Amino acid sequence: MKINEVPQEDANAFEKAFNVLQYAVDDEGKFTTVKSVGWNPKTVVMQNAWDYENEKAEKARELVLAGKRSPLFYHTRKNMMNAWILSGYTGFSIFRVMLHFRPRFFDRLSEKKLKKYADAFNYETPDQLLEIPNHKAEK
Amino acid sequence: MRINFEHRMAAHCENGVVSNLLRFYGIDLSEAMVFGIGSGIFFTYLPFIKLGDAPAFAFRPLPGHIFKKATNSLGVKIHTEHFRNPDKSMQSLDANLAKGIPTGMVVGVYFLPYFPPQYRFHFNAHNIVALGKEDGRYLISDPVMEGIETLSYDELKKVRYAKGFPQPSGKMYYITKAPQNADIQNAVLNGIKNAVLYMVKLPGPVIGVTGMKYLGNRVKKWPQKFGPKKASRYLGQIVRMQEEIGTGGAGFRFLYAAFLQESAVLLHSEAMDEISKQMTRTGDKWRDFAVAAGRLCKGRETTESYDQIGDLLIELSEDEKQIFLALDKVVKGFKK
Repeated sequence: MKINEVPQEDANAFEKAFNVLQYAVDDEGKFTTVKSVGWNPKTVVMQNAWDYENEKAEKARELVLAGKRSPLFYHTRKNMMNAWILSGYTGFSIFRVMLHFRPRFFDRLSEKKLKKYADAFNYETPDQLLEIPNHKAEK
Repeated sequence: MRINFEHRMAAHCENGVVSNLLRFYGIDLSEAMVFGIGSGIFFTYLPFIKLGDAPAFAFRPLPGHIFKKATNSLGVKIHTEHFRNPDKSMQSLDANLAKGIPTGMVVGVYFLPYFPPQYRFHFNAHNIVALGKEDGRYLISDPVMEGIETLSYDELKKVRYAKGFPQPSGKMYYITKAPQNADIQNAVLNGIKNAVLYMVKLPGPVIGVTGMKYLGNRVKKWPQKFGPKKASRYLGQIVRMQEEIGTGGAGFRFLYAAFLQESAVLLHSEAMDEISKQMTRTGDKWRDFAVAAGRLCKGRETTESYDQIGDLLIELSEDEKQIFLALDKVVKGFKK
């Protein structure tokens, strides 16, 4: 890759523009580093990966609104976690976390346990766990 | 306090950390040299391990490998620690900083506040260096960022104890002793020898150039086997591993070519310079692969098909096989 071939595309594809270092050859054939703002194929595959995650969150949101899963389930998916990762952050067993994905068990949770879940997601208050958006998530 | 530590931006986090740490201890090596000495070039396709609902592809060995290998062959002594208790790990870090030792840490990126949101997945093998504490905030040199960043106590504790795979469990490492004049030539030869081992000499179908060939044959079957949606997601995963943050382009191939170029000057070897140029051409081919895969992922009507992409991968595996066999010959020529 020559220096003038280093891609500078799609700088505004995501919220925050970010430069990565790329190695490229200068006119004399020597390698140097060049900052690149983005590249179209890379943007496509990254957007695909995010779409997949958003789709999972959207499915979870529908299940929650239908009353089949607890709000915790939606927030787990939104943060791209699963019962295993959440179990690591909270210290609850995987089985218990999965129970808390059910509305029946989630409704009985104490304030203290809700706080643990909120901390796992870096939420300020446990009340944020109960918030389910009315529209599809975009990222 | 703040340690007088020079922060240099790098393409890859681990190379950058190792290169910056070594420079602090008087061994001035560029990122590419560290990458080569640590035998960072690799390829593997593990269809039976799923990461983020896609098979595992890797263009690099396991995290921590480059650091271990590079310091070992340069004769640098290191110390690595894990902690069960998060608060103890932070105390230990504070004690280190008070002694003036820049300390490397393995962290997860999902809760890293300064990281760009589009890159924040549950990836737990990012490397950063703490170089001081000012007003209760830690000063962090993250090689992929342009400047010095800061983190609060709680933020740092959270990312050091990120959960998922792999779990960093507060891993921190630092250099305890560095030699005055390290034998860089020998280290370079060792690094290349190891890279040749990984890429062409290890048995089995999933590692090195055989892994690339295997993947090439498998890619052709993906659309029938998984359907178009899943197949394009898997293909996207390869391109993400190849081009996302920290590879310097083309799945470390340009970085390795840069290393070969520098080593050619160091070892006065014209053959190696020629191989570096070949490596650059392979890197360009990897980029062609990414372009083709990107078009397929976009789902538009294109002329590219999975068969062509598979053939491209098989061609690449053949090219890289020739490169590493040639390198093997060059390195053997240096042996007395």
